[in-house]
Amino acid sequence: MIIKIRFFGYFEEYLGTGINELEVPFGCTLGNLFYLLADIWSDKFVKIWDYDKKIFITPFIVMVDGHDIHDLDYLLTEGSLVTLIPPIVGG
Amino acid sequence: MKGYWSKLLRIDLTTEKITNENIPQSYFEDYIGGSCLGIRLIYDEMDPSIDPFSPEALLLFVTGPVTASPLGTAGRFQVVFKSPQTGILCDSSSGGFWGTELKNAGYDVLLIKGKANHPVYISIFDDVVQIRSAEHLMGLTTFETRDHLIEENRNLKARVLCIGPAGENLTLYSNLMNDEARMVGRGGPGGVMGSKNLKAIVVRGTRKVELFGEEEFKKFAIHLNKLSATAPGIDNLRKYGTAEVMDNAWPTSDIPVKNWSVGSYEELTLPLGGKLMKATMLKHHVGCYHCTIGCSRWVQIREGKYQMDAPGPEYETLGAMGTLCMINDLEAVSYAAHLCNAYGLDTISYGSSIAFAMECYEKRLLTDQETEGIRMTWGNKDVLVDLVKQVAYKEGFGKFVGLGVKRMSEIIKKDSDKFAVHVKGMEVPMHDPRAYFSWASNYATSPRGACHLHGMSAIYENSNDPIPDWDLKGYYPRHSNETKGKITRLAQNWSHIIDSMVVCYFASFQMTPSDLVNLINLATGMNLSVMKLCEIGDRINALHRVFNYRCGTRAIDDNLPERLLTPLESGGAANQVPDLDYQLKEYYEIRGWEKDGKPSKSSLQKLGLDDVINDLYSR
Repeated sequence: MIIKIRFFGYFEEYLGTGINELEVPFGCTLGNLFYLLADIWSDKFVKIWDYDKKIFITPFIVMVDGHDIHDLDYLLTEGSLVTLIPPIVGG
Repeated sequence: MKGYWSKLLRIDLTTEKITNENIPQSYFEDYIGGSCLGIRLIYDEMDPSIDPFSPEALLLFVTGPVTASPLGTAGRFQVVFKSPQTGILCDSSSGGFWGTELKNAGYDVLLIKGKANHPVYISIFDDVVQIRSAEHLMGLTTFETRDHLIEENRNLKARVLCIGPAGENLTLYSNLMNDEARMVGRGGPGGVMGSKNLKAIVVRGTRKVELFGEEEFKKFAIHLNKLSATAPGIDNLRKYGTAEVMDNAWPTSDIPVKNWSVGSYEELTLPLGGKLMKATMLKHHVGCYHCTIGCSRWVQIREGKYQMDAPGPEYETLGAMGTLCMINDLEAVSYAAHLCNAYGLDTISYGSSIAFAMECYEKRLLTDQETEGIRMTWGNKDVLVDLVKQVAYKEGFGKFVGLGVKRMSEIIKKDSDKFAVHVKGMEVPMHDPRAYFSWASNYATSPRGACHLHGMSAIYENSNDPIPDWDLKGYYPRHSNETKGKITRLAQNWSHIIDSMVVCYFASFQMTPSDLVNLINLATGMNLSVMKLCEIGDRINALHRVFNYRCGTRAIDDNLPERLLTPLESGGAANQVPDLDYQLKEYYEIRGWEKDGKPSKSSLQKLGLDDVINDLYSR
C-alpha cells in the first residue's frame, strides 16, 4: 500500500526532502515504518536515529492524518499521511 | 569571589550622585547573578507599592558570572524593574554586546534611581561615568540615537542601549534597544527609562574579570559551544532563524491565528516563514557576542512601499503582527516590525493589541468613530504599519491601542474580556496552551505575566526523560495534563538559572543542569550541586512571587483568558483544552503555595527566605 510521509524542520533538512510517497506492506505499523525509514536513509538518518536503541535521538511529534500518535503499534492504512515534527522553538 | 567584580554602580539621576558599592558574596551564592540577583536587590530596596514611573522606582541592569566569558552567547544581560504594564516585578533580557561591555567596564550591576530634571544619557567608559545632556537626542528613533551617540562619543567599540519615542512618551509596552535591534522587549522598561528622563546608556569596558578555573572553564565552554553549533535543529535556526517556526510548527497548532480563535494552517504561515525570508530578503545572519548560532537576520527589501535594510522579524513578531492579525505579507510585517524597533515598541504586545482591536471591530464593539475612521479589519496591513507611530506618540486611535489588551478590554467591556488574551496584563506570547498543555500552568503562574521565556515547558513534552538530573523522567504527551505542574516548576527553575548566569536559551538547549553547575563552579569557585541549583531556582521564584503578592497578585490572577480555554475547531490541536485547575493544584502543592497564592511560611523557611516572611504574613 502507498502512504505519505511529511518531514518538518531539521528532519526535512537532513533528509533533503519534504513530502514522500512510500510503498509499505499491508499491516505496517508506525514502528515498522521508522525501521524502514532508517534503512532507506541510513547515512542521513544517523544524526536523528539511534541505530543501537532503534529510537529517535531527539524528541518529536508524530501525527497520522492530523492526530498525535504515541503508539508504535499503530496500524497504518492505505493513504495514511504520517507527519514527523522535531522540537521547534521560536523567540 | 571570582567571576564577579562584586560591584554595583549606583546612579541617582535626581541628585546626580554616582557611587560604587560592594555586593555581598552571599548574594552571589544565593542568587548567582542576572535577573535573580536583580530581583533580590529590588526586593531589598524598593517598596512594591511604588508607581513604576515614579522617581523612586528602580531600574537595574545586571550581568552574570559567565557574562563576557568564552561561553557562547555570553553577552546577554537582564533588566529588572516594576512593570508599568502589569504592575508587578518584571525581568527582561537581551542579547548583543552591551552586557559584555558593562561587565568589562567593571560592574555586575548598574542601578538607576531618581529622575533627571532634563533629558540625559549616561556614559560609562570603565571608571569614567558621566551623566550628560540628551536634549539633542529627544524624538530620535532608536537607530538614530545609537548612530548619534557612537559618533558623539568617538568610540566605535562603545555600545548603546536606548529608548525610542515610545519610551519617551511612557507608552506602556515600550521597550529598550541595544546594539543592532536587540530588544529588552517585554513589560515596558522603555517607559520606566523614559520616566527618569534617561534616553540612553553608552558603555565601553576594557577590563576582564578573572574566572576561578580559567583554563578549565575555557575548555568546557568550547566543548559546549561545539555542541550548540552542531546540535540537530541548530542548523535550521542558523539557516532560517526563529521564523522557521512558521514553516514547521503549523501542524501542531502552536501558532496562534486570528486572535487565538482558529487552528494554524500552512497557507497562512508559510508566507511568513524562514524559508521565504531566506529566499527573498535575507541579507546576512546576525549573532550576539561569542555566538555559535547566529539566529537573527538582517533583511533588505529593495522595492515597493516597504523598503528597508534592517534587522528582520523573529517568530514572536511574525506571529503577533502576522497570523494573529490574519496578515501573511512578509514584507509588510517586516516593515511594521522595523518601525516598532525604531520607535521602541514591544512587537508581541503591539501585534496582540491590534488583533484584539480587529476582533472588537468585527464584533462591532469598536465603531468607526471610536477608531477615528480606521478600518480595523482582519488582514489590514496598512493599519499594522500606520498605527506604530500613533501608538508611540499616543496619538489618535493609537493612544487607545497603546494601552494594551487588558486595559483596552476594561474600557470596552461588553464581554470583550473573553477574548482579551493576556495574563496579569501581559499579552500572551505566540505559543498555544491548547497545542502544548504545559503552557497553561506556565503562563498562568509565570512571574511576569504570560511568558514563554520564564519556563520553556513545551520542550519537555513529547520527550523521553526530559531532565533526569532534576528527577523529571518519563514521557509526557503534549495533550495530557499529567505532571504538567511539575514540568512547569522545573522549566521555570531552569529559566531562572539561565537568566541568572546569564545565558541564551538556544545555547542552553544543549546543556544539562550538570553542565550549568560545572560552568558556575568553574567561573566562581562555588561548589554547587545540581539539586542546589534547582533550589536556587525555587528561591528566586518564591521571592519574585512574594514581591508580586505584595503588589496585589493573588491566586485568582493565576488564570488564562476564556479564549485559551475554548477548543479550536480545526488544526493539530482541535478539540483539545488543558485542565488548568488540575495543573495548578499540582503546581501549588509542589511550590508550597497557599490557596490564596502566597508562598507558605514553611516553603519560605526551607529556601532560606526567613527575612521576607514578616513582609508577607504581617499584612
